[in-house]
Amino acid sequence: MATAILEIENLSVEYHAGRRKLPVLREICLSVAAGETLGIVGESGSGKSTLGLAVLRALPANGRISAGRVLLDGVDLAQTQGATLRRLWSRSLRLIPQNPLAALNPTLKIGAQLVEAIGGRRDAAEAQAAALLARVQIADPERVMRSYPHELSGGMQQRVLIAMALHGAPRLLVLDEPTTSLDVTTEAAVIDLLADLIAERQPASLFISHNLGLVARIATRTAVLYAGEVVEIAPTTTLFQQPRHPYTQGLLRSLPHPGLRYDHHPLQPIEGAIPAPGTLPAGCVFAPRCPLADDRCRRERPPLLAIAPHHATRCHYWHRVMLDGALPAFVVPTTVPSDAPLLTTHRLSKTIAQRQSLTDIARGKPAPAVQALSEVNLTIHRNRILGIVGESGSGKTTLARCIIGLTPPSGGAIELLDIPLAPLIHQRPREHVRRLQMVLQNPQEALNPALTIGEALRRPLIRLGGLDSKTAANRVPDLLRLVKLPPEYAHRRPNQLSGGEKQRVAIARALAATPDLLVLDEAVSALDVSVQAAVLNVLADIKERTGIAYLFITHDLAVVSYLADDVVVMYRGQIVEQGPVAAVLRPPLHPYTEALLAATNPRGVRLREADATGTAPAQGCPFQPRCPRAIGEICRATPPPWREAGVGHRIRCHIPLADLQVAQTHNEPISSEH
Amino acid sequence: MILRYLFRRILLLGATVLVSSLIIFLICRLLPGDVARVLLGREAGEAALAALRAELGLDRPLLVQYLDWLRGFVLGDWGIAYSTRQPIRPLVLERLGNSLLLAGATLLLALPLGIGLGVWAGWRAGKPDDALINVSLLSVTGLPEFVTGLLLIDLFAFRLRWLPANSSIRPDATLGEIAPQLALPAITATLVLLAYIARLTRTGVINELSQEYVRTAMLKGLTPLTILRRHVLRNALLPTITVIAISLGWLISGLIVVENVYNYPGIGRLLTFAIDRRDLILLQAIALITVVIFAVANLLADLMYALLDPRIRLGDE
Ligand SMILES: Nc1ncnc2c1ncn2[C@@H]1O[C@H](COP(=O)(O)OP(=O)(O)OP(=O)(O)O)[C@@H](O)[C@H]1O
Ligand code: SF4
Ligand code: SF4
Ligand SMILES: [Mg+2]
Repeated sequence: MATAILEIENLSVEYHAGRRKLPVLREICLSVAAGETLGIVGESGSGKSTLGLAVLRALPANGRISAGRVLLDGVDLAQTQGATLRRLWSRSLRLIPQNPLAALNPTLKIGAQLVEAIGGRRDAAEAQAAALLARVQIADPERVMRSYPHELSGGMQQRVLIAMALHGAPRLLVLDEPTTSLDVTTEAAVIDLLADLIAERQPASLFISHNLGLVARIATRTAVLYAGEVVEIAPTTTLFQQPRHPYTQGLLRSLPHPGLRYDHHPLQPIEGAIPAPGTLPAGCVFAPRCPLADDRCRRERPPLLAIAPHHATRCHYWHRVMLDGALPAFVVPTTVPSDAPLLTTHRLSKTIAQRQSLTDIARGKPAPAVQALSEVNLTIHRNRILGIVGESGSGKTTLARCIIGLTPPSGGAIELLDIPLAPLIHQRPREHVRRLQMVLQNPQEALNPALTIGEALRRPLIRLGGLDSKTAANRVPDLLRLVKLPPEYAHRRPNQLSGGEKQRVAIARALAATPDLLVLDEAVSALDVSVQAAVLNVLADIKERTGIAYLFITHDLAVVSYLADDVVVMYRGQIVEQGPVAAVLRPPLHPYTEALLAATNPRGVRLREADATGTAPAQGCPFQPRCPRAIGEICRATPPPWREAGVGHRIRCHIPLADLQVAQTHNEPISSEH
Repeated sequence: MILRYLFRRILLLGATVLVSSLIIFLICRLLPGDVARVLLGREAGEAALAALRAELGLDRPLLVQYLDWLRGFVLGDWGIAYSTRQPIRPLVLERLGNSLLLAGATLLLALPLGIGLGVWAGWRAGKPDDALINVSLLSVTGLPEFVTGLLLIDLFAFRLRWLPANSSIRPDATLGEIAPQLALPAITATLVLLAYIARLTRTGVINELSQEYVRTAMLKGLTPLTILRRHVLRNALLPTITVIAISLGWLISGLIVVENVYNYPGIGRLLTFAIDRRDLILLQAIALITVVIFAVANLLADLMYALLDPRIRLGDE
């Protein structure tokens, strides 16, 4: 390994909360070479961001480095202050944060913000800013420099911050979940760009993420953080193939792997939750959740032990951590439902008028209207799971809201068991409301903080289930058990639960009405992998037991292939492909489906970013402007036809089916035009 | 789009004023007390009272009276004050001008001072100087205007003899003559407004300082002062603008106490006068003009905010 330029020695960090001191990082030792990317993974709250901010000396006001050194090119950052620190910040230390919109000043133009970072003479800085924007693949730097942050798409905002972080000669780059707020397709492009730029500018980089798959693509070595300690560190491939810490192994077992299905290889979530800062157990921090823990673990804190070159783990019994053999991929038999459909949509459409800002009006931009849904036909059957995938803006959430009756469609119809549904929920008979329930992405918004869990669950039982309040109260423990929560939780309030537990309560509440269909809009997306695994298992279990149907909206194709029976692929409000999950995803046929899948593949096709302001072309294929396989004039001018690709499998593309299949069997590279 | 928005807002403004005018009219008419009796005194006979009522048009149906009043108001004929037998419009407008002058002087004092103190306190939040600013502002605001007013008069007018205690302004006075008359009332009103503006600014600054873009600016290597000046201030002051515009409305109508303490010839004192004399028609005019000023100030605030913040979107919903 090349010599390290960043050396973190015994770094400890604490936060002050009132008069209490909360230690959040303990004796962290890491080193990173120039041009190297070290991955940092761990559950939410494990201290990843704190580590990143501490090495940049950018901790919030109540945070403090309590011990240790952070050597960058031999200079101890922990001891640097004032003007020296500011000079280091402007020249060498850089951060690319999770939420690019929040990291940009909302009322300053992009150009001004870049120029300020670059410094020096204004015209020179401006020229350099434009060059940097071009370097991060922004097509029209001049226009972007004149824009305000909110006028750019998330991917563009993040590119601006990348440009800002990479001017000059950065020595230390901290990437704190830089793509978490982006679409999969954009994420793929941004990760490629980052890998490129790191190779070019050679800073030492820390890549922080809770997404293990992503880390595997960019980091050469990876450290696993748990409760403020490095519990394992190894070259990334070694870590993924031969984890030597029970926690790392637990994280890996929580991930849905391609080809594995819930009914054959259920995920194995890690039980329990990460300890809160200030409540660390005496011995091994992982002992309360570790399946291998014994008395020694609870008594004696394990040291970070080197067990092979570049591989160290903090576990007494690392040699007992069993390796998983490669699991056989299970091919889902393509089943076609025979019963009558539960719910169907017929040419469902929705147009949403957008608001405009005064500055836009002054510049004479026309008021935009978005076709959020366009002639969507789909069918949902009992005891089946329908996955809906697509980038943000593809109309997934609008579809869910139309079905539930939160927003009226502009055209088309929805039928429940052949009976047309009223457009809005308050116009629907109670029976219809009961049958269709929804769980949102953010349980925070869905649960009333003033109600106990028990009260929150009793309400729908009484209102929709028609139970009297005594019977309803008696049903609450059953509901909690259904989502694998202890019945005592009925007395807690939402703020006493973790994110995953809250989401399970939200599911339980939706189930209280014994619906026929549960709409889940990105319901597991915000959760840590281990928590996500637990919730997915709960969902699979409930479906097997009750025969309920799910409409499962997600951007995560691994989750869809793990759980769904059928899948609908949406682009800009239109369905471009639909069918049984195995037929649609393996191999992908439609160019857009292909691009979505390729986004998780380091060498896959990359899509041009969707323009935030652009609308789909009026005629022709909506995907045409970004389609890597577009075949010319016909794609631009004529809407593609639906083609039957198999039983219940339909594709909307001009390329003949046989050609699409041939392209996949030979895995033909796409002639890229950009 | 913008024209449609403006048109809608102005229509809304018109509706607000119309509804308010009806309410004002009804309240004034349902108030106990007979105008004719007040004007002619206790001894007046029934016949004289009836004659006066007929002369003032008070014997007509309420609706007719209301419509007549409203039409007159819109056309610029605001009627004759019962009490002084003078035309109302020039009187009210002159007093309004004086009040605007006082409000302007107050804002000129209160804005820089309040914003300055607020920024300082927010920047140094939690430190001793922040606490000092907070406590002093609170104690100043805690005193009612008439107490501060009387204390100021005692100090500046009677002990130091720097400024007049009584602020009577002649219509033909020059600015140099007016300034000393304005000083004490403006200072008193400033003290009332100061804590409000300062606290608002302080909250804005603290809120902006916790935003992530401040960290971005810090990591650019900017000095704390540059960060404050270039990044924090503009965003922190945005919400203050709305409040200032609204307080303009408040200033003009809410200075009753201050105007009375100093005998300042503004609209507030005219209001007390009208109430005193049971001059309902004058009262109506003052109330309605105040409503108009409030509504216009609000509209201006919204427009200004939308112009300064590129994120604000105008439109339906
Ligand atoms: N300013 C703060 N004051 C007090 N405690 C804090 C502060 N910031 C973070 N913490 C606590 O420190 C611990 C580590 O937080 P940190 O943000 O570093 O975690 P993380 O691994 O980045 O989590 P996530 O994946 O959710 O971003 C958490 O328990 C958190 O609640
Ligand atoms: S030391 Fe013990 S408790 Fe800790 S991870 Fe190893 S086996 Fe588990
Ligand atoms: S119709 Fe043309 S543009 Fe559309 S997906 Fe097929 S090849 Fe691409
Ligand atoms: Mg974090």
